[in-house]
Amino acid sequence: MEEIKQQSNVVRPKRKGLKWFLGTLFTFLLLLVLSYCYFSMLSAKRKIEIYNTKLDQVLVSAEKEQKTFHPALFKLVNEKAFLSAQNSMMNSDSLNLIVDLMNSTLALVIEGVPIHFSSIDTYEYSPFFTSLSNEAYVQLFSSPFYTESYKSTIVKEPITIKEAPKDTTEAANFFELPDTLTNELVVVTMHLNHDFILTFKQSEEIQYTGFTKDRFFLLGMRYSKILDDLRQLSRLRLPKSYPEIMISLPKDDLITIFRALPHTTQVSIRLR
Amino acid sequence: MEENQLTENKPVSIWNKILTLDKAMHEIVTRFFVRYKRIFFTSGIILLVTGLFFLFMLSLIFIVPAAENFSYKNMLNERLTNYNTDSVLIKKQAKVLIKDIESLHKKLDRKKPRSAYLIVNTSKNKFLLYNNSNLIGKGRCSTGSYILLSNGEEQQWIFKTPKGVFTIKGKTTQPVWIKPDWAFVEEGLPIPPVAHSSRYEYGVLGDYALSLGHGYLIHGTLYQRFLGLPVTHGCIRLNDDDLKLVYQRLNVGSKVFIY
Repeated sequence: MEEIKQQSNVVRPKRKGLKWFLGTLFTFLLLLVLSYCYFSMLSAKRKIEIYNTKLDQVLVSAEKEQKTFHPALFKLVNEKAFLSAQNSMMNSDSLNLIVDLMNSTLALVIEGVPIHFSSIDTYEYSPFFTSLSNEAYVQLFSSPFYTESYKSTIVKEPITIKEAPKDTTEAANFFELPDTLTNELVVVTMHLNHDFILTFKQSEEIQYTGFTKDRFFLLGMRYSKILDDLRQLSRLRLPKSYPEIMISLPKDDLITIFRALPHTTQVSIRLR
Repeated sequence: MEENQLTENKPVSIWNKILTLDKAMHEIVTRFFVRYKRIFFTSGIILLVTGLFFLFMLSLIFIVPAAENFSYKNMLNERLTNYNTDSVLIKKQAKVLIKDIESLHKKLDRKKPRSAYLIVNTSKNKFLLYNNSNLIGKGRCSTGSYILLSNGEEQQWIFKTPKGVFTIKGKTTQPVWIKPDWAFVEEGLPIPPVAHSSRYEYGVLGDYALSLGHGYLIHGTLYQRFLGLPVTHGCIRLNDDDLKLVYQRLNVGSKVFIY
């Protein structure tokens, strides 16, 4: 009996230590989540404040009067801003993109000539864009955005390497299947200037047979953002806010648009 | 004696057997756990910590976007409220805006070609032929296969149709294909000298050809079953009827948009 008592006396402090360890870990993680939430919100707030007060800071009073307008005129001002953005892209001899969420259309343009149209099935965007004042919105969307980088689940150019055959028999046996992408989920994210994210995904659902890298594409993107934010926080800096516009459209159109656009392209957008 | 014999010969009930087996099993399991308790304890902690971390990452994914949305929605939207409310002035401003919009629309319209032009979609392998914004022809075509032909490290060719705006540089009837080096390499044949007779092939490009420059052509094909597929070496192949229409409508200088 004494032995047992002694044994139990030896074990107890260990368990207590474990409880403390788990408790501390849980509290630490909880604090991390809470602080992360707080700083993310703060960062988003700051971004809106910056855009909304930009007019006050930058423009002199006479110019400000010109730039401010009655809410009744917003529709016209917005139309003008959208057309101005398109006009700015007119002289570019590379392919550019027009995203019109009001009419749910996408268009590929080159030298101002629309060459491909696609209808948008569904879309959503961060509340950041609705929190902008009318004036700030028009200022921001009256010129085209530029793509800084992009990520996608499919390749931009489906290049197949073929070694030169040694003779005519080997050449006759070569057969290449065309790249159909029937079973692949197509998701494309474009990082625009102003740290905006434009995401396109196919509207058709895919039947999964197992775990694929495509399935975790967006999840992976979000994780990399979280890691980046935590890195910023560890350096005592506010994490960056990335307002997002997410558009789903037919797969064929998405492939066409993604493969047509060059690596750096201009995008003019109308949200409201 | 009889009683003792009776008790000894009494058959053991099934429950007793189960109980005995259970006790034995219990002993084995207890011994096993006692023996490897450290391993079980450590792996349990590892599992718990991993689980907690997993929960933490999950919470970051779902809580943060929700919190951000909440923050946006509850934000005081500081609008610039010092705009003029004079209705006459607003009407004036509206008139100016309408004029501006009309002029911008005109500017954009002016960019559209006034003559015939061709649009080629290399992803779907389809084409559209317009004349002054009116669609006058459409159909299947074949464009570059995206095959990179490698003949050792020194020679490489990539078979893709270039994208962008092009103009028709020249038009010919009954074109002759002067086979470049890659055509022989691809067939596993030795490369002949520049002006060798084996380089000239007649009747393989159809009845017409329109040049886009840099060796790229819009031409016909013998392999009409491949139309709609990316199988060419960079040229644009059309069927005989479409080729004739395109040849008739497009002039030297006409625009071809490839995407």
